[in-house]
Amino acid sequence: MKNVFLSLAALSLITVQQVGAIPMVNGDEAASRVRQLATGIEWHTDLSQALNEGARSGKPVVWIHMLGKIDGAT
Amino acid sequence: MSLSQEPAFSYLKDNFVVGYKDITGLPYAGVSGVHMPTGNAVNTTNGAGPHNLQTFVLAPDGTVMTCLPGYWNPQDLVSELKLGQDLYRVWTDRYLSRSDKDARFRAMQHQHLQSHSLQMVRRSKMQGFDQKYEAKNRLQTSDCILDSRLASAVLQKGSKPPAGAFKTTDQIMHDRMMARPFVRYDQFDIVAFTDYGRPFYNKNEDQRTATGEVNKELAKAQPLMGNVNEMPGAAKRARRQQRQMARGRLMNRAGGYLARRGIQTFVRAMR
Repeated sequence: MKNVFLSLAALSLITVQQVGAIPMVNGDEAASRVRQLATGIEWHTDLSQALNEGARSGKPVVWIHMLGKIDGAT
Repeated sequence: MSLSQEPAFSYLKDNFVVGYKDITGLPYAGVSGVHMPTGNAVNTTNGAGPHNLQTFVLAPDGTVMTCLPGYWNPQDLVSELKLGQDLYRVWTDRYLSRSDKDARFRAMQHQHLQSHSLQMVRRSKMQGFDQKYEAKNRLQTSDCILDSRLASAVLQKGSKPPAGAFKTTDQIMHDRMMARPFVRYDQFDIVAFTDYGRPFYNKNEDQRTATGEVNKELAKAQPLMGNVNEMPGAAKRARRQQRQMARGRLMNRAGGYLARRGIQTFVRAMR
């Protein structure tokens, strides 16, 4: 019986840690993703240029408003 | 950031011309803690941080097909980008009249909302602090509230609002878009469109332990960016950090890490 209680206590402890934790991508992985995002796509910072490129290629434009920079602090 | 995650990254790269604008200091921008590109990243709910991030799909003539306020799960983002492409086809259809296009716009926004999976709707739950903000500041007038009596429960400490009290963020977004068929970007009322929840949004990504919990000491010292002076609480915090930095305290904490790298946004936020 004591073992059952200990097991339950251990299980509840694990559960609490899982509930308290948020799935997180660590800094190195996040930095790698940011690099890929910043360099793997050509980012326009001038809307009129982006729209002209859209007209030339026939593609719509995704234009993002953000606090910060795509390759810097956000 | 969901843009760097698949399937969003490839979809964006293959189907769109992309660009961005730093909205730091603009009147409608919110406030956020400074998050370094080398910092941790955490997932959040759809539509969280509407004042800090907006994703437009524009036709090359500058007409808004759709706009997503805040952060979106990569899968859900792609689904909404596809709607933007479909609307672009309607917008460029030379055989449709303007009134037909507007009618289709509204219908497609509505149909898209109806087609959202249960998982997507669950990912679109409004953040608790944003629910509180709406209930506290505009209980009777907010278009985010479905039932003001039920929504008022969120103002009781430790109480969660029952289902049916608030709209989900996907509904808020599509409802608001339905009222804005094919509006030009330079006439799009971004302030009203993004106006839900509190202006301050921060996940403290860089102040988390390996298990994902927030280190409160580091979180307090975190520099802010955005419209810091528009938010009394945030402005006070910024002034405190400025004083700390002057005394050299912050140099030994998170601010030192930032200051050594000469982060411009950090400096702007402190002004």
